[in-house]
Amino acid sequence: MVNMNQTTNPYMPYPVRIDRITIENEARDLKTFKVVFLDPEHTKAFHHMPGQFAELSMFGKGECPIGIASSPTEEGFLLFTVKKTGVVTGELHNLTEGRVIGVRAPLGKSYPIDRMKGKNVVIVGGGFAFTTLRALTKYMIEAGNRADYGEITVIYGARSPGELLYKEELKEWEARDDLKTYITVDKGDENWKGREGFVPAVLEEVAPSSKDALIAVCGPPIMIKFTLPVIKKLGFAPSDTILSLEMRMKCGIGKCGRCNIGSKYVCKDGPVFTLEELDVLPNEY
Amino acid sequence: MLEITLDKSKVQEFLRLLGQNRRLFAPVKDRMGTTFSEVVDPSLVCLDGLNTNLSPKEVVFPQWETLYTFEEDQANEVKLVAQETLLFGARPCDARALELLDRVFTWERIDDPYYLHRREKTCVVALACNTPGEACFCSSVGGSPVGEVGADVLAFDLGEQLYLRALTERGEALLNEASALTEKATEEDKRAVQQAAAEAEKQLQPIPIPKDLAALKESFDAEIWENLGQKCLGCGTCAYVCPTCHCFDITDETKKGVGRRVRSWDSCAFSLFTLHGSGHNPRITQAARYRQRVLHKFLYCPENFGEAFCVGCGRCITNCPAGLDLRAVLERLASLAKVG
Repeated sequence: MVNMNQTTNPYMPYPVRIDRITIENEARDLKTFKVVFLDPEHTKAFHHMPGQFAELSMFGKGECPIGIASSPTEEGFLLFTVKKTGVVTGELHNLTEGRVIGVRAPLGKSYPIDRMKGKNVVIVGGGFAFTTLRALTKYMIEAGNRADYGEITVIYGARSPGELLYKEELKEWEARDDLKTYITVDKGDENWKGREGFVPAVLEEVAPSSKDALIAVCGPPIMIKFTLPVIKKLGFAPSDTILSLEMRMKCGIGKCGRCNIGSKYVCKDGPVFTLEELDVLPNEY
Repeated sequence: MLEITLDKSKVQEFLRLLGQNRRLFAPVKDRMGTTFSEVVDPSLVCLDGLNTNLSPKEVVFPQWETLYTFEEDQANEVKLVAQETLLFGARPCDARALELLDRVFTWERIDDPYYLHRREKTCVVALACNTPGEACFCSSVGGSPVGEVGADVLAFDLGEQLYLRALTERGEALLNEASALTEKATEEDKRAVQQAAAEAEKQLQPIPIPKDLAALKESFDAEIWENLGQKCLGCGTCAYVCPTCHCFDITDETKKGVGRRVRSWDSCAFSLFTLHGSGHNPRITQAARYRQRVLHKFLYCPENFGEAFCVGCGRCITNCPAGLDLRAVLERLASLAKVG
């Protein structure tokens, strides 16, 4: 899936300009960066699929692996939603629109789009891990692609209304009749008229059928822990349960030896794995 | 292939000649024994020491190297130009380690240009071990004290002279450059080499190596790791001296907006190695980290590359400040496998 050929140096980032910064939450520690390639040739040559990630590069600080939040159907730019966590993401959060950063991408394997074709798809996301699931949803509901998939169900939750990503877009999704969208928060506020409750409970309540369906899950470990039993109860096979993992990385291309779980490298064999694949790996993630 | 002999009195001249138009790396005496260094004065080369302190992997995979430089927002590629290099006197275990490293740095057709640009220009003259060392166990992990894998030329010390056999075209071309100093090997020389090889191999006692990968997988939750983890200091010495350890870090060094992105050797023994930005650490204990090192070599690499990433050089054994002996660990794992 890595589109770096022999003539290019896989450690060199593409220069991109920050075109727009959207502050996603009240705590202001989640921002979405819309970036565009400086070189139009790069824009043309760049192809990714939902689920793949990038190493974002802040010269002088380092690199950090971030999922690509935009769908390949959104041409001409890439989206990255980044939580301010450490040195590199902290630096990124300090930058203003117009600044140039580096991007090494696309890295890793995508969600199994081809296997999802003709199937019902359930998307379960929690917190700021919703980014590549946003890319996946956006990709599937695109006019030219929508007919390729059966019923699409999106269940997305965050701690509070303010912590929900892509708020405007979620409203659009809720209004669509070719997409079942369930947004939930752990605890609402005085203005919140929507659903309250944890993601696993909402999934159990919505109870999407596992027949002819795949389910893609991404969220904090605690959510995954309580969601997997529900998924099992709903009858999804481990091979139809898709997860996306996080791991500390450096090279992103299977050399530096940092992100392995057993013999699998999250950077090149993942970050997307089926539960079936994860079940045979050592419990070390 | 070409087989020649070189009188030992001519080794310096031989190296001086071959070093004229290439970089020469060979074992040189230092306070601690011998170590691979770039040789300017061939009289300092010491071929009597067995394994060098550090393996010669740094000739192709330096401890520290610049990936590229940057100035503010602008990254500048470093031109990758390597000089022809002669790695002379690497032991067969170290030569074989290079062949294993090649697999990582070309894995799944993603080529690492930094490693490869040096590796492609490196000619390896391996020196067979007449008398393997106390911590050596190459023959137990698929190697041999007289092994040829990874080498362009294999040399034997026959006392008064060196015998050199070309194994590749590059090796043959190298030997031809110095033909004025060498003689064609006689039948007697070849017999002597055969005898030396047989004797060298006889001296190594086989040690048990866990080869049942399913059983090794089962060992993940075994108590042995807890016990070993308590002894391991997490100093990373084993990784630094290991000829096949290849994990690296990438960091930025900068001063007033001008700087470079560098990669440097790293070790899975370090507690920060897998620490996430969120604070989560999948290998929170030293036991988990020690297990990673051993299983990476003897389980994950066999699964990914078909071979264990250990060439039996014994450096991790002789250098471990906590006295951890990999051979004993392997023996325990092998017995676990039998019981399980």
